[in-house]
Amino acid sequence: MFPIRRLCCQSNRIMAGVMKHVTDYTIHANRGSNHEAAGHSGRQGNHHSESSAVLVLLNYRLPRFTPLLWSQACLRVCADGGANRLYDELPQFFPRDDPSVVRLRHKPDVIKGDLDSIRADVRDYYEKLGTIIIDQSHDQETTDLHKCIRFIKESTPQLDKTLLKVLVVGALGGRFDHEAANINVLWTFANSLRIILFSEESSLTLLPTGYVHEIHVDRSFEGPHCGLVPVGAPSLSTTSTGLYWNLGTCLTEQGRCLTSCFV
Amino acid sequence: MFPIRRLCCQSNRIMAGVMKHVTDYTIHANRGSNHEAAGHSGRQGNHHSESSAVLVLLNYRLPRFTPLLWSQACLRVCADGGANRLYDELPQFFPRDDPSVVRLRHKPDVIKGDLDSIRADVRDYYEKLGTIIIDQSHDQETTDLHKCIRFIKESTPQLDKTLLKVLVVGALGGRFDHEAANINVLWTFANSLRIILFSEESSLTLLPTGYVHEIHVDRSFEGPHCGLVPVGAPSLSTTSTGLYWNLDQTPMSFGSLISTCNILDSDVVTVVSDVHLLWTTELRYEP
Repeated sequence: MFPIRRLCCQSNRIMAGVMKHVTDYTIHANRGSNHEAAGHSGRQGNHHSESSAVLVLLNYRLPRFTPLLWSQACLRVCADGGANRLYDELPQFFPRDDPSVVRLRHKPDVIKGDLDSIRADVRDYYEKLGTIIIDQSHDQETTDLHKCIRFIKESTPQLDKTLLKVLVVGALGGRFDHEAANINVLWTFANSLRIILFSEESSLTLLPTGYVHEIHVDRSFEGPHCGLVPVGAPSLSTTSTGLYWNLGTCLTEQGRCLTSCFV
Repeated sequence: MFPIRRLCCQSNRIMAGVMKHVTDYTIHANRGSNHEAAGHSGRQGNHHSESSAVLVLLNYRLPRFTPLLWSQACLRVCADGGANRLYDELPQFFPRDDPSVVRLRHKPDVIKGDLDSIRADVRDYYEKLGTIIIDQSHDQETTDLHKCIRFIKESTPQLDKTLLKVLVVGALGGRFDHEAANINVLWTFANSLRIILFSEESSLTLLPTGYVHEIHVDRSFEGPHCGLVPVGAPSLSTTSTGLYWNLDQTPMSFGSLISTCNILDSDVVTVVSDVHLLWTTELRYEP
Protein backbone atom coordinates (compact mmCIF):
# COMPACT_ATOMS: atom_id res chain seq x y z
CA MET A 1 0.00 0.00 0.00
CA PHE A 2 1.29 3.46 -0.76
CA PRO A 3 2.87 4.74 2.46
CA ILE A 4 0.74 7.88 2.74
CA ARG A 5 -2.53 5.93 2.51
CA ARG A 6 -1.29 3.46 5.11
CA LEU A 7 -0.42 6.31 7.47
CA CYS A 8 -3.90 7.79 7.03
CA CYS A 9 -5.53 4.44 7.74
CA GLN A 10 -3.45 3.84 10.84
CA SER A 11 -4.45 7.15 12.31
CA ASN A 12 -7.70 7.16 14.22
CA ARG A 13 -8.14 10.83 13.57
CA ILE A 14 -9.51 12.37 10.44
CA MET A 15 -6.49 13.96 8.76
CA ALA A 16 -6.93 17.35 7.16
CA GLY A 17 -4.84 16.12 4.25
CA VAL A 18 -1.23 15.98 3.19
CA MET A 19 1.11 18.84 4.14
CA LYS A 20 4.18 18.97 1.92
CA HIS A 21 7.51 20.29 3.17
CA VAL A 22 10.04 20.74 0.40
CA THR A 23 13.63 21.81 0.90
CA ASP A 24 13.58 24.18 -2.03
CA TYR A 25 16.31 26.44 -0.74
CA THR A 26 19.98 25.59 -0.64
CA ILE A 27 23.07 26.23 1.45
CA HIS A 28 25.41 25.05 -1.27
CA ALA A 29 27.64 27.82 -2.54
CA ASN A 30 27.85 26.55 -6.11
CA ARG A 31 24.06 26.25 -6.46
CA GLY A 32 23.34 29.61 -4.80
CA SER A 33 26.26 31.36 -6.43
CA ASN A 34 24.28 33.00 -9.24
CA HIS A 35 22.46 34.96 -6.64
CA GLU A 36 25.50 35.61 -4.50
CA ALA A 37 27.46 37.01 -7.44
CA ALA A 38 24.60 39.29 -8.33
CA GLY A 39 24.76 40.36 -4.72
CA HIS A 40 22.53 43.41 -4.91
CA SER A 41 20.21 44.30 -2.12
CA GLY A 42 17.10 44.55 -4.21
CA ARG A 43 14.26 42.05 -4.20
CA GLN A 44 15.21 38.83 -5.83
CA GLY A 45 13.08 35.80 -6.43
CA ASN A 46 14.00 32.21 -5.71
CA HIS A 47 15.05 30.83 -9.04
CA HIS A 48 14.58 27.11 -8.52
CA SER A 49 11.42 27.03 -6.48
CA GLU A 50 7.77 27.99 -6.84
CA SER A 51 7.67 29.25 -3.28
CA SER A 52 8.88 32.61 -1.96
CA ALA A 53 11.38 32.98 0.84
CA VAL A 54 11.59 35.69 3.47
CA LEU A 55 14.76 35.89 5.55
CA VAL A 56 14.62 37.01 9.19
CA LEU A 57 17.84 37.75 11.06
CA LEU A 58 17.85 37.48 14.86
CA ASN A 59 20.38 38.71 17.39
CA TYR A 60 22.71 35.74 17.65
CA ARG A 61 25.71 34.39 15.75
CA LEU A 62 24.72 34.10 12.08
CA PRO A 63 25.37 30.77 10.31
CA ARG A 64 28.07 30.93 7.65
CA PHE A 65 25.52 30.16 4.94
CA THR A 66 23.48 33.30 5.72
CA PRO A 67 24.62 35.10 2.52
CA LEU A 68 23.37 32.15 0.47
CA LEU A 69 19.92 32.31 2.09
CA TRP A 70 19.99 36.10 1.67
CA SER A 71 20.43 35.69 -2.08
CA GLN A 72 17.39 33.39 -2.29
CA ALA A 73 15.02 35.64 -0.36
CA CYS A 74 12.59 38.17 -1.79
CA LEU A 75 12.33 40.07 1.52
CA ARG A 76 14.89 40.50 4.31
CA VAL A 77 13.86 41.55 7.81
CA CYS A 78 16.06 42.18 10.83
CA ALA A 79 14.54 41.61 14.25
CA ASP A 80 16.01 44.46 16.33
CA GLY A 81 19.59 43.45 17.25
CA GLY A 82 19.69 41.15 14.22
CA ALA A 83 20.68 44.36 12.43
CA ASN A 84 23.85 44.53 14.57
CA ARG A 85 24.66 40.95 13.54
CA LEU A 86 24.09 41.79 9.88
CA TYR A 87 26.29 44.88 10.13
CA ASP A 88 29.12 43.20 12.07
CA GLU A 89 29.14 39.63 10.77
CA LEU A 90 28.23 39.71 7.07
CA PRO A 91 31.58 41.30 6.08
CA GLN A 92 33.35 38.44 7.91
CA PHE A 93 31.83 36.02 5.40
CA PHE A 94 33.53 37.94 2.56
CA PRO A 95 37.07 38.41 3.89
CA ARG A 96 38.43 39.48 0.50
CA ASP A 97 35.87 42.23 0.02
CA ASP A 98 35.73 45.74 1.43
CA PRO A 99 33.35 45.61 4.44
CA SER A 100 31.54 48.79 3.40
CA VAL A 101 30.82 47.26 -0.03
CA VAL A 102 29.50 44.08 1.58
CA ARG A 103 27.21 46.11 3.83
CA LEU A 104 25.84 48.10 0.91
CA ARG A 105 25.12 44.82 -0.87
CA HIS A 106 23.18 43.51 2.12
CA LYS A 107 20.69 46.17 3.06
CA PRO A 108 17.65 44.80 4.88
CA ASP A 109 14.21 45.88 3.73
CA VAL A 110 12.86 46.26 7.28
CA ILE A 111 14.14 46.41 10.85
CA LYS A 112 11.38 45.68 13.34
CA GLY A 113 11.05 45.05 17.05
CA ASP A 114 11.21 46.88 20.34
CA LEU A 115 14.57 48.32 19.21
CA ASP A 116 16.22 48.03 22.61
CA SER A 117 19.17 46.05 21.21
CA ILE A 118 20.00 47.73 17.90
CA ARG A 119 23.00 50.04 18.19
CA ALA A 120 22.43 53.71 17.37
CA ASP A 121 25.15 53.74 14.70
CA VAL A 122 23.71 50.64 13.01
CA ARG A 123 20.20 52.09 13.05
CA ASP A 124 21.43 55.36 11.52
CA TYR A 125 23.41 53.52 8.84
CA TYR A 126 20.48 51.45 7.59
CA GLU A 127 17.96 54.26 7.98
CA LYS A 128 20.08 56.45 5.67
CA LEU A 129 20.19 53.62 3.13
CA GLY A 130 16.39 53.51 3.07
CA THR A 131 15.62 50.55 5.33
CA ILE A 132 12.19 50.89 6.93
CA ILE A 133 12.53 51.00 10.73
CA ILE A 134 9.41 49.98 12.66
CA ASP A 135 9.53 50.74 16.37
CA GLN A 136 7.24 48.52 18.43
CA SER A 137 8.67 49.25 21.85
CA HIS A 138 5.11 49.75 23.15
CA ASP A 139 4.54 46.02 22.66
CA GLN A 140 6.33 44.13 25.42
CA GLU A 141 4.03 41.12 25.21
CA THR A 142 5.60 39.47 22.15
CA THR A 143 9.14 38.66 21.10
CA ASP A 144 10.92 40.45 18.27
CA LEU A 145 10.62 37.31 16.13
CA HIS A 146 6.88 37.17 16.74
CA LYS A 147 6.58 40.83 15.70
CA CYS A 148 8.52 40.14 12.50
CA ILE A 149 6.47 37.07 11.57
CA ARG A 150 3.25 39.01 12.16
CA PHE A 151 4.57 41.82 9.99
CA ILE A 152 5.46 39.38 7.20
CA LYS A 153 1.97 37.83 7.33
CA GLU A 154 0.24 41.20 7.18
CA SER A 155 2.47 42.93 4.66
CA THR A 156 2.52 40.21 1.99
CA PRO A 157 -1.19 39.87 1.11
CA GLN A 158 -0.27 39.17 -2.50
CA LEU A 159 1.75 36.07 -1.62
CA ASP A 160 0.10 32.67 -1.27
CA LYS A 161 0.95 31.77 2.33
CA THR A 162 1.09 28.06 1.47
CA LEU A 163 3.94 28.93 -0.88
CA LEU A 164 5.71 31.29 1.50
CA LYS A 165 8.53 30.12 3.75
CA VAL A 166 10.18 32.19 6.46
CA LEU A 167 13.83 31.33 7.04
CA VAL A 168 15.11 32.49 10.43
CA VAL A 169 18.83 32.69 11.18
CA GLY A 170 20.37 33.32 14.61
CA ALA A 171 17.38 31.48 16.09
CA LEU A 172 19.09 28.65 17.95
CA GLY A 173 21.94 28.60 20.40
CA GLY A 174 22.57 31.60 22.61
CA ARG A 175 20.39 32.18 25.65
CA PHE A 176 18.14 29.19 26.22
CA ASP A 177 15.05 31.24 27.08
CA HIS A 178 15.42 33.06 23.74
CA GLU A 179 15.69 29.74 21.93
CA ALA A 180 12.56 28.45 23.72
CA ALA A 181 10.72 31.66 22.83
CA ASN A 182 11.73 31.26 19.16
CA ILE A 183 10.52 27.66 19.13
CA ASN A 184 7.26 28.84 20.72
CA VAL A 185 6.72 31.15 17.73
CA LEU A 186 6.54 28.04 15.53
CA TRP A 187 3.54 26.92 17.62
CA THR A 188 1.92 30.36 17.52
CA PHE A 189 1.87 30.36 13.72
CA ALA A 190 1.44 26.57 13.41
CA ASN A 191 -1.21 26.52 10.72
CA SER A 192 -0.60 29.81 9.00
CA LEU A 193 3.03 30.06 7.91
CA ARG A 194 5.91 27.72 7.20
CA ILE A 195 8.78 28.84 9.41
CA ILE A 196 12.22 27.21 9.51
CA LEU A 197 14.71 28.06 12.28
CA PHE A 198 18.41 27.68 11.51
CA SER A 199 21.60 27.35 13.45
CA GLU A 200 24.99 26.52 11.96
CA GLU A 201 24.33 22.81 12.54
CA SER A 202 20.56 22.31 12.34
CA SER A 203 17.26 23.29 10.83
CA LEU A 204 14.02 23.10 12.80
CA THR A 205 10.42 23.25 11.68
CA LEU A 206 7.04 22.36 13.14
CA LEU A 207 4.89 19.47 11.91
CA PRO A 208 1.42 20.47 13.12
CA THR A 209 -0.93 17.68 14.12
CA GLY A 210 -3.89 16.84 11.94
CA TYR A 211 -1.90 16.29 8.75
CA VAL A 212 0.09 13.57 7.10
CA HIS A 213 3.44 15.28 6.57
CA GLU A 214 5.38 14.57 3.41
CA ILE A 215 8.93 15.89 3.89
CA HIS A 216 11.12 16.16 0.79
CA VAL A 217 14.71 16.54 1.98
CA ASP A 218 17.83 17.58 0.10
CA ARG A 219 20.35 15.01 1.21
CA SER A 220 23.18 16.87 -0.47
CA PHE A 221 23.27 19.07 2.64
CA GLU A 222 20.59 17.78 5.03
CA GLY A 223 21.25 14.85 7.32
CA PRO A 224 22.12 12.12 7.72
CA HIS A 225 20.98 12.77 11.29
CA CYS A 226 17.48 13.99 12.01
CA GLY A 227 14.89 13.82 14.76
CA LEU A 228 11.26 14.13 15.82
CA VAL A 229 10.79 15.87 19.16
CA PRO A 230 7.48 16.13 21.06
CA VAL A 231 8.11 19.57 22.56
CA GLY A 232 5.14 20.89 24.47
CA ALA A 233 3.03 17.78 24.86
CA PRO A 234 3.51 14.01 24.89
CA SER A 235 2.52 12.01 21.82
CA LEU A 236 0.46 8.86 22.20
CA SER A 237 0.98 7.87 18.59
CA THR A 238 3.50 8.82 15.93
CA THR A 239 4.19 6.92 12.72
CA SER A 240 6.89 7.55 10.15
CA THR A 241 8.42 6.22 6.97
CA GLY A 242 11.75 7.02 5.36
CA LEU A 243 13.82 6.92 8.54
CA TYR A 244 16.38 4.31 9.53
CA TRP A 245 14.42 3.78 12.74
CA ASN A 246 10.81 4.42 11.86
CA LEU A 247 8.16 4.97 14.47
CA GLY A 248 5.22 2.63 14.66
CA THR A 249 2.67 3.43 17.32
CA CYS A 250 5.20 4.69 19.84
CA LEU A 251 4.54 6.57 23.03
CA THR A 252 6.84 9.56 22.91
CA GLU A 253 7.21 11.84 25.84
CA GLN A 254 10.08 13.50 27.60
CA GLY A 255 11.99 10.93 29.59
CA ARG A 256 10.82 8.01 27.47
CA CYS A 257 10.94 7.31 23.78
CA LEU A 258 12.28 10.54 22.37
CA THR A 259 13.40 10.12 18.80
CA SER A 260 16.69 11.80 18.21
CA CYS A 261 19.97 10.94 16.54
CA PHE A 262 18.11 8.97 13.89
CA VAL A 263 19.06 8.95 10.22
CA MET B 1 2.07 34.54 54.95
CA PHE B 2 5.50 33.09 54.26
CA PRO B 3 5.70 32.49 50.48
CA ILE B 4 6.45 28.76 50.70
CA ARG B 5 3.40 28.05 52.89
CA ARG B 6 1.21 30.09 50.58
CA LEU B 7 2.45 28.16 47.58
CA CYS B 8 1.69 24.85 49.30
CA CYS B 9 -1.81 26.00 50.19
CA GLN B 10 -2.51 27.22 46.68
CA SER B 11 -1.55 23.92 45.21
CA ASN B 12 -4.28 21.33 45.16
CA ARG B 13 -1.75 18.57 45.09
CA ILE B 14 0.00 17.10 48.07
CA MET B 15 3.55 18.35 47.74
CA ALA B 16 6.37 15.94 48.56
CA GLY B 17 8.13 18.80 50.30
CA VAL B 18 10.57 21.56 49.54
CA MET B 19 13.36 20.89 47.03
CA LYS B 20 16.25 23.30 47.44
CA HIS B 21 18.43 24.34 44.51
CA VAL B 22 21.48 26.30 45.57
CA THR B 23 23.98 27.85 43.19
CA ASP B 24 26.93 26.74 45.25
CA TYR B 25 29.38 26.68 42.38
CA THR B 26 30.85 29.75 40.71
CA ILE B 27 32.02 30.93 37.30
CA HIS B 28 33.85 33.91 38.75
CA ALA B 29 37.59 33.69 38.17
CA ASN B 30 38.54 35.44 41.40
CA ARG B 31 36.38 33.20 43.55
CA GLY B 32 37.42 29.99 41.81
CA SER B 33 41.06 31.03 41.48
CA ASN B 34 42.33 29.16 44.54
CA HIS B 35 41.39 25.98 42.79
CA GLU B 36 42.58 27.12 39.39
CA ALA B 37 46.02 28.06 40.67
CA ALA B 38 46.35 24.70 42.35
CA GLY B 39 45.45 23.32 38.95
CA HIS B 40 46.26 19.69 39.54
CA SER B 41 44.20 16.93 38.10
CA GLY B 42 43.59 15.11 41.31
CA ARG B 43 40.33 14.98 43.15
CA GLN B 44 39.48 18.25 44.75
CA GLY B 45 36.49 19.07 46.85
CA ASN B 46 34.29 22.11 46.54
CA HIS B 47 35.59 24.48 49.15
CA HIS B 48 32.56 26.66 49.70
CA SER B 49 29.75 24.16 49.50
CA GLU B 50 28.51 21.12 51.37
CA SER B 51 27.62 19.43 48.12
CA SER B 52 29.87 17.55 45.68
CA ALA B 53 30.20 18.40 42.03
CA VAL B 54 30.88 16.06 39.14
CA LEU B 55 31.81 17.63 35.79
CA VAL B 56 30.76 15.98 32.53
CA LEU B 57 32.18 17.23 29.23
CA LEU B 58 30.20 16.64 26.04
CA ASN B 59 31.27 16.94 22.41
CA TYR B 60 30.45 20.55 21.70
CA ARG B 61 32.17 23.91 22.14
CA LEU B 62 33.14 24.21 25.82
CA PRO B 63 32.13 27.39 27.70
CA ARG B 64 35.04 29.63 28.64
CA PHE B 65 34.38 29.04 32.35
CA THR B 66 34.94 25.26 32.01
CA PRO B 67 38.32 25.41 33.83
CA LEU B 68 36.60 27.09 36.79
CA LEU B 69 33.99 24.33 37.01
CA TRP B 70 36.79 21.78 36.58
CA SER B 71 38.54 23.14 39.65
CA GLN B 72 35.37 22.77 41.74
CA ALA B 73 34.63 19.18 40.76
CA CYS B 74 35.62 16.05 42.64
CA LEU B 75 35.17 13.84 39.56
CA ARG B 76 35.58 14.69 35.86
CA VAL B 77 34.04 12.53 33.16
CA CYS B 78 34.26 12.93 29.39
CA ALA B 79 31.39 11.62 27.30
CA ASP B 80 33.15 10.15 24.25
CA GLY B 81 34.07 13.08 21.96
CA GLY B 82 34.02 15.40 24.96
CA ALA B 83 37.59 14.15 25.37
CA ASN B 84 38.47 15.71 22.01
CA ARG B 85 37.03 19.01 23.22
CA LEU B 86 39.00 18.79 26.46
CA TYR B 87 42.21 18.02 24.57
CA ASP B 88 41.75 20.72 21.90
CA GLU B 89 40.01 23.53 23.72
CA LEU B 90 41.31 23.62 27.29
CA PRO B 91 44.75 24.94 26.23
CA GLN B 92 42.98 27.79 24.40
CA PHE B 93 41.67 29.02 27.76
CA PHE B 94 45.27 29.38 28.99
CA PRO B 95 46.95 31.18 26.06
CA ARG B 96 50.07 32.01 28.10
CA ASP B 97 50.69 28.42 29.17
CA ASP B 98 52.30 25.51 27.33
CA PRO B 99 49.42 23.40 25.91
CA SER B 100 51.03 20.15 27.03
CA VAL B 101 51.23 21.44 30.61
CA VAL B 102 47.56 22.52 30.50
CA ARG B 103 46.57 19.05 29.25
CA LEU B 104 48.52 17.33 32.01
CA ARG B 105 46.75 19.54 34.55
CA HIS B 106 43.34 18.56 33.18
CA LYS B 107 43.27 14.79 33.02
CA PRO B 108 39.76 13.35 33.19
CA ASP B 109 39.07 10.51 35.60
CA VAL B 110 36.88 8.60 33.13
CA ILE B 111 36.01 8.63 29.44
CA LYS B 112 32.78 6.77 28.77
CA GLY B 113 30.40 6.25 25.88
CA ASP B 114 30.16 4.36 22.63
CA LEU B 115 33.57 5.82 21.72
CA ASP B 116 32.68 6.45 18.07
CA SER B 117 33.70 10.11 18.24
CA ILE B 118 36.88 10.16 20.34
CA ARG B 119 40.01 10.46 18.21
CA ALA B 120 42.53 7.64 18.47
CA ASP B 121 45.37 10.00 19.42
CA VAL B 122 43.26 11.60 22.17
CA ARG B 123 42.23 8.20 23.52
CA ASP B 124 45.85 7.01 23.59
CA TYR B 125 47.00 10.18 25.31
CA TYR B 126 44.55 9.96 28.18
CA GLU B 127 44.83 6.19 28.49
CA LYS B 128 48.60 6.53 29.01
CA LEU B 129 47.95 9.15 31.71
CA GLY B 130 45.76 6.70 33.60
CA THR B 131 42.26 7.82 32.61
CA ILE B 132 39.79 4.94 32.82
CA ILE B 133 38.25 4.31 29.39
CA ILE B 134 34.86 2.54 29.43
CA ASP B 135 33.68 1.30 26.05
CA GLN B 136 29.91 0.94 25.82
CA SER B 137 29.58 0.68 22.07
CA HIS B 138 27.28 -2.32 22.55
CA ASP B 139 24.68 0.03 24.01
CA GLN B 140 23.10 2.02 21.19
CA GLU B 141 19.88 2.67 23.09
CA THR B 142 21.13 5.51 25.28
CA THR B 143 23.11 8.66 24.61
CA ASP B 144 26.66 9.17 25.84
CA LEU B 145 25.39 11.64 28.43
CA HIS B 146 22.89 9.10 29.75
CA LYS B 147 25.67 6.52 30.03
CA CYS B 148 27.83 8.98 31.99
CA ILE B 149 25.04 9.96 34.38
CA ARG B 150 24.22 6.33 35.03
CA PHE B 151 27.91 5.65 35.69
CA ILE B 152 28.09 8.57 38.13
CA LYS B 153 25.03 7.30 40.00
CA GLU B 154 26.38 3.78 40.28
CA SER B 155 30.00 4.56 41.01
CA THR B 156 29.48 7.06 43.83
CA PRO B 157 27.58 5.02 46.43
CA GLN B 158 29.35 6.86 49.23
CA LEU B 159 27.99 10.24 48.12
CA ASP B 160 24.60 11.46 49.32
CA LYS B 161 22.76 11.96 46.01
CA THR B 162 20.76 14.85 47.44
CA LEU B 163 24.09 16.65 47.89
CA LEU B 164 25.53 15.66 44.53
CA LYS B 165 25.28 17.91 41.49
CA VAL B 166 26.30 16.98 37.97
CA LEU B 167 27.53 19.93 35.89
CA VAL B 168 27.41 19.27 32.15
CA VAL B 169 29.30 21.47 29.69
CA GLY B 170 28.95 21.34 25.90
CA ALA B 171 25.33 20.33 26.42
CA LEU B 172 23.52 23.11 24.59
CA GLY B 173 23.92 24.60 21.13
CA GLY B 174 25.22 22.43 18.33
CA ARG B 175 22.94 19.87 16.68
CA PHE B 176 19.38 20.39 17.88
CA ASP B 177 18.61 16.69 18.21
CA HIS B 178 21.64 16.32 20.52
CA GLU B 179 20.40 19.24 22.61
CA ALA B 180 16.92 17.70 22.81
CA ALA B 181 18.44 14.36 23.83
CA ASN B 182 20.51 16.07 26.56
CA ILE B 183 17.42 17.82 27.89
CA ASN B 184 15.60 14.48 27.81
CA VAL B 185 18.25 13.07 30.18
CA LEU B 186 17.10 15.62 32.79
CA TRP B 187 13.66 13.99 32.66
CA THR B 188 15.08 10.47 32.86
CA PHE B 189 16.88 11.26 36.12
CA ALA B 190 14.24 13.72 37.36
CA ASN B 191 13.98 12.54 40.92
CA SER B 192 17.35 10.94 41.43
CA LEU B 193 20.11 13.39 40.57
CA ARG B 194 20.52 17.13 40.30
CA ILE B 195 21.86 17.82 36.79
CA ILE B 196 22.68 21.26 35.40
CA LEU B 197 23.33 21.77 31.67
CA PHE B 198 25.56 24.67 30.64
CA SER B 199 26.21 26.68 27.54
CA GLU B 200 28.27 29.85 27.36
CA GLU B 201 25.14 31.92 27.93
CA SER B 202 22.75 29.79 30.00
CA SER B 203 22.28 27.20 32.67
CA LEU B 204 19.38 24.75 32.58
CA THR B 205 17.97 22.42 35.21
CA LEU B 206 14.76 20.48 35.81
CA LEU B 207 12.19 21.34 38.49
CA PRO B 208 10.28 18.08 38.92
CA THR B 209 6.61 18.33 39.75
CA GLY B 210 5.41 17.38 43.21
CA TYR B 211 7.75 19.74 45.08
CA VAL B 212 7.86 23.35 46.10
CA HIS B 213 11.14 24.48 44.60
CA GLU B 214 13.30 26.96 46.50
CA ILE B 215 15.97 28.28 44.13
CA HIS B 216 18.86 30.21 45.67
CA VAL B 217 20.55 32.09 42.84
CA ASP B 218 23.91 33.83 42.73
CA ARG B 219 23.07 37.13 41.12
CA SER B 220 26.74 38.04 40.80
CA PHE B 221 26.78 35.90 37.65
CA GLU B 222 23.25 34.53 37.17
CA GLY B 223 20.57 36.59 35.49
CA PRO B 224 19.06 39.06 35.30
CA HIS B 225 17.16 37.09 32.67
CA CYS B 226 15.63 33.72 33.45
CA GLY B 227 12.74 31.51 32.38
CA LEU B 228 10.41 28.64 33.16
CA VAL B 229 9.67 26.41 30.18
CA PRO B 230 7.04 23.64 30.09
CA VAL B 231 8.91 21.36 27.70
CA GLY B 232 7.17 18.04 27.43
CA ALA B 233 3.70 18.82 28.71
CA PRO B 234 1.44 21.85 29.16
CA SER B 235 1.06 23.23 32.68
CA LEU B 236 -2.43 23.97 34.01
CA SER B 237 -1.05 25.79 37.03
CA THR B 238 2.32 27.26 37.92
CA THR B 239 3.02 29.70 40.75
CA SER B 240 6.22 31.55 41.48
CA THR B 241 7.75 34.18 43.74
CA GLY B 242 10.97 36.13 43.33
CA LEU B 243 10.54 36.98 39.64
CA TYR B 244 9.74 40.32 38.07
CA TRP B 245 6.73 38.74 36.33
CA ASN B 246 5.53 36.12 38.74
CA LEU B 247 3.11 33.38 37.83
CA ASP B 248 -0.01 32.91 39.92
CA GLN B 249 -1.65 29.56 39.20
CA THR B 250 -0.97 30.50 35.58
CA PRO B 251 -1.33 28.00 32.75
CA MET B 252 1.69 27.68 30.46
CA SER B 253 2.11 25.82 27.18
CA PHE B 254 3.79 25.97 23.82
CA GLY B 255 1.56 27.92 21.47
CA SER B 256 0.52 30.10 24.37
CA LEU B 257 2.36 31.60 27.33
CA ILE B 258 5.79 30.32 28.37
CA SER B 259 7.91 32.28 30.81
CA THR B 260 10.92 33.57 28.87
CA CYS B 261 12.85 36.84 29.23
CA ASN B 262 11.69 36.97 32.86
CA ILE B 263 13.91 38.76 35.37
CA LEU B 264 15.26 37.73 38.77
CA ASP B 265 13.83 40.01 41.45
CA SER B 266 15.21 38.26 44.52
CA ASP B 267 18.05 36.01 45.63
CA VAL B 268 15.46 33.30 46.23
CA VAL B 269 12.93 32.19 43.65
CA THR B 270 10.16 29.72 44.49
CA VAL B 271 8.22 27.68 41.98
CA VAL B 272 5.45 25.10 42.21
CA SER B 273 3.87 23.49 39.17
CA ASP B 274 1.71 20.57 38.11
CA VAL B 275 4.28 19.48 35.51
CA HIS B 276 8.06 19.18 35.21
CA LEU B 277 9.52 22.55 34.22
CA LEU B 278 12.87 23.65 32.84
CA TRP B 279 14.41 26.46 34.86
CA THR B 280 16.95 28.53 32.97
CA THR B 281 19.12 31.46 33.97
CA GLU B 282 21.29 33.71 31.87
CA LEU B 283 24.98 33.49 32.75
CA ARG B 284 27.29 36.51 32.77
CA TYR B 285 30.86 35.32 32.55
CA GLU B 286 33.69 37.85 32.77
CA PRO B 287 37.16 36.41 32.23
